[in-house]
Amino acid sequence: MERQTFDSAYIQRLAQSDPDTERDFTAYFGELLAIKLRSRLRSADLIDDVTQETFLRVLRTLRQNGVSNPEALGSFVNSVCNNVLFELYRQQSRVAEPPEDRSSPAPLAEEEIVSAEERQQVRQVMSEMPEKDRMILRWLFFEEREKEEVCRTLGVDREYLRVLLHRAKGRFRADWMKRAATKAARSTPIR
Amino acid sequence: MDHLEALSSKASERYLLGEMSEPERFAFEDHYFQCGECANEVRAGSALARAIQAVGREDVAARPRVKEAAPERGGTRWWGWLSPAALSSAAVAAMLACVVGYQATVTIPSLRTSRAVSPIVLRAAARGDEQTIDVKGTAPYAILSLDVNAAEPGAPLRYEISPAGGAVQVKGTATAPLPGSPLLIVVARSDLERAGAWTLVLRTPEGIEIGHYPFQLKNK
Repeated sequence: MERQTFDSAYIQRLAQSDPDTERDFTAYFGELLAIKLRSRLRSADLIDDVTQETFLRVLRTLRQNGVSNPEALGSFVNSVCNNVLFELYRQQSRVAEPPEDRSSPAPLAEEEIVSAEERQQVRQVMSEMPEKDRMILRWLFFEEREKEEVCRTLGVDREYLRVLLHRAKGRFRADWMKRAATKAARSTPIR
Repeated sequence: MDHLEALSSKASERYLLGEMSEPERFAFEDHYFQCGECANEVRAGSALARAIQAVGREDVAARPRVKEAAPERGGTRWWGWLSPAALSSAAVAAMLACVVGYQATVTIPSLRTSRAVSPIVLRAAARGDEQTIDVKGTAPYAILSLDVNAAEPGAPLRYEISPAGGAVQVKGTATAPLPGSPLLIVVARSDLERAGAWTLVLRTPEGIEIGHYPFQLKNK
């Protein structure tokens, strides 16, 4: 989905619990928060808890106090999420039995929703690449090999990996953005 | 971090590849939560990575499943009486000469009739997923079955099997199988005697590694 313009009208609708605006807000930031949190937490349940707690705090603040700079909504959501995350870290270090952060046996619901179109598109993108580049992407993202090992084995440097990812992403992005826009209605409801 | 800095430092790629320090990650997150263009870069990259994973899982799921066959039935071997202890070295030599002569002219009965053999399915390397295989059995060879995902069907390949820290014990050439079909490699059991960590590596004829199949060998 495309990013909305976060202006005072948007904030007002959000503060008034407008369902469409809430859906838009949770879909857009839910995806960004999931990407952010997946690199720090392994448990799908914990990721969901932190996301929901972030949404609750942001919406509560908006309803009680509003925000002085509507265009900085994204930055505000991120800073609230950081606070929730730090509280969780503190809790984990303080409590005898901290919340478990084990990787879930089942993938995140969001991870499961990789449409047939996306899979087809990624096959198409990869089929247009040299064999070595296909191999690199597969090793990095599916087999999760260490980057040092990938570079050493195939005789490439780190910059090559970045450029390759940039190109692959560029080929994948245009069609993906169109599809993402049509999926905008599919969003995580606020508990 | 501002937008120009994010672009010039390939921030979204380094973020997705996990190459940023924690402070830099926080700084970039603060930027992309605010910047629609960078957020879309991160989202598209993340979607690409998930799609590659999904395609990988799909390919793995499409592999033909090979059932573990029941262990071969035991019984008295017809050559059981032919032990070195039972025969003098001269008699063994004479007997071997007869056997070799027979094999050179006559098809060995057990190879003339059909028989089912269960292959050992090797999985490509994935973190924390090293499998243990057992090559015990009465057949003089083991069949290793593996999926080849990084080569076009018919592409020439080389394979090498070696113990950890040891020299290559088995090597040979093959061609990449059709999609959905495994590559089968027949290996003499005597070549897989050392228990412990082993690796089967697939390479292109130029020596570029395209597949890595680590396994723990439980043997005898």
